[in-house]
Amino acid sequence: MKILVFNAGSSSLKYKLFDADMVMKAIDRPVLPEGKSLCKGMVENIGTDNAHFINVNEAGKTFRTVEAKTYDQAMDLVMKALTELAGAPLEELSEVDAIGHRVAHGGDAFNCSVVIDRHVVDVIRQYSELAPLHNPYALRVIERCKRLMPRAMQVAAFDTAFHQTMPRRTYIYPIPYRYYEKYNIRKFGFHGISHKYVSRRAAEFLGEDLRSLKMITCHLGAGASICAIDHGYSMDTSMGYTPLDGIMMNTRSGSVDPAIITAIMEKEHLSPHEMDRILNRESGFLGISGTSGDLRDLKEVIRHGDQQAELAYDIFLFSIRRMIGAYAFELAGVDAIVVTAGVGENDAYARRLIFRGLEPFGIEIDENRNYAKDNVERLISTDRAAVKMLVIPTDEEAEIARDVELIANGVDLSDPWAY
Amino acid sequence: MIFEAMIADDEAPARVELRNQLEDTGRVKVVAEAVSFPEAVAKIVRGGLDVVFLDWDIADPSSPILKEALPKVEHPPLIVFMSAYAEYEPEAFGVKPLCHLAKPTDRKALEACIKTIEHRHLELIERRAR
Repeated sequence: MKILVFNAGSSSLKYKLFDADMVMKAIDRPVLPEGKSLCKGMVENIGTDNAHFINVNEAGKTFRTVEAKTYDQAMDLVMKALTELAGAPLEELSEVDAIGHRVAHGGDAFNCSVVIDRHVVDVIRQYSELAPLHNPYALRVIERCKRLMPRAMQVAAFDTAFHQTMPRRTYIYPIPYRYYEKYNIRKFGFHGISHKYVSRRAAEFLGEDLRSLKMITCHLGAGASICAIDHGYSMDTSMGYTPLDGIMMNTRSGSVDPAIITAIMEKEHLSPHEMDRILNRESGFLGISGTSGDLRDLKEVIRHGDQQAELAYDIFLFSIRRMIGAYAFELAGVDAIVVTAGVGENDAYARRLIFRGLEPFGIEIDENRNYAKDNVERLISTDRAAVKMLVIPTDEEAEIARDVELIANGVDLSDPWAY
Repeated sequence: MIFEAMIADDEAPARVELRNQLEDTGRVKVVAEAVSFPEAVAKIVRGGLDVVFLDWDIADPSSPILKEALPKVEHPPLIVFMSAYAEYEPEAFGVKPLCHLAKPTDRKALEACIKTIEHRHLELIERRAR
């Protein structure tokens, strides 16, 4: 069975093709190890003059600048990569049996991945307002796939679904309750596909049952969120109604005193739209450092003594530490802490600073393990530490492919005990 | 018969007190404890429990997780809710509690509750036999 997975954003389109038969013979160990994809790649900077295309298949890696002024052009490139490029894994698109789509926002309509029908499309459209950079693009890819591969089953995997087990006390905001009733303003949480994947992998790595562990998972990429997972259930997460909430990010502020927002709007005569742009695009690393929203650039200038960049880095690490501390109390203890995504997987120094001096709480990093170069699933805590610290590289596409495979096998994903 | 029970309560002293009270009756053996609602649900699914004493404060009535989990267990345990407050909504979970115990629990109420458990348990055994 061939499963194609798409992850569509406003300026990028990622894809990965899996051969499920190769890796998922048994339903009791449905894990797709990295490297088992037949083909993967992405189109980046769509809509700009600097669009480029990366593709990796049997024949090797392709990287080139391309013409992708529109989303349709980007989709054409991907379809060609699957069938026409040297080393292409397919002769015809019709060989694809099922397609999984990452959809950023499913609101509280879905607690699991679902087969896409008209109702699902309507809900994705309905939540486009809250995820304008993702949901509309996912819909365009869904439409296109329906035309090109009409026989393939299409599945939507939502970033919000995993967090549907949050209790009311964590998802209701302390503002007039009528706004929840009227506009469904509540915490939804995001990165659910990643939090779910790394928590399951972490339990497997430790040889423990996910349903016996209290875990805090930290997805630290350009967007960053932290999740408190109790016996496999998401109980709280740092992103909220939108992905702007929580810890500081590359260009996003994360949580700030809400009064600051109205104060700045008033002083600078800004519209809600302009304020939204400042909080989403001009804050975070970029806002504090004034130079870049990319942590790799910042670390370079920190080396040359840039104090603003150092302050940005410091605020970021501290916001993570604060959130982990809060979740350890919420869960009344923690068995394992998992870090993943860009910073989590690659920045040993950040890991060291976030978790330093926490021995009284059973947290102790082994610096040799922490600085080990290999980017594989691994333990970074000392053997005597009570809290297991793990680096688990995330693989959202593999998690989506797994859901697609389970659905294709007739498993009811809405029942958390069925799989 | 001796019932195998779980106490699900986040307060350690409350767990110790109830464990002592239950074991003093000689009719209940506490085989598991849970400090959170998800942990309680996970342990219920693992099976082998006759009765669960679930603290209302850790339970979350808006959550479907208990309701989803109970049908997964071959012989689901009987649920006893315990709460220190009056505002307690039976069946808020879509799960019918067997009885309700106020916290702290006095011996008489506990005795009555265990009697209810015994009755209900016999009923269930008879129903299964049929």
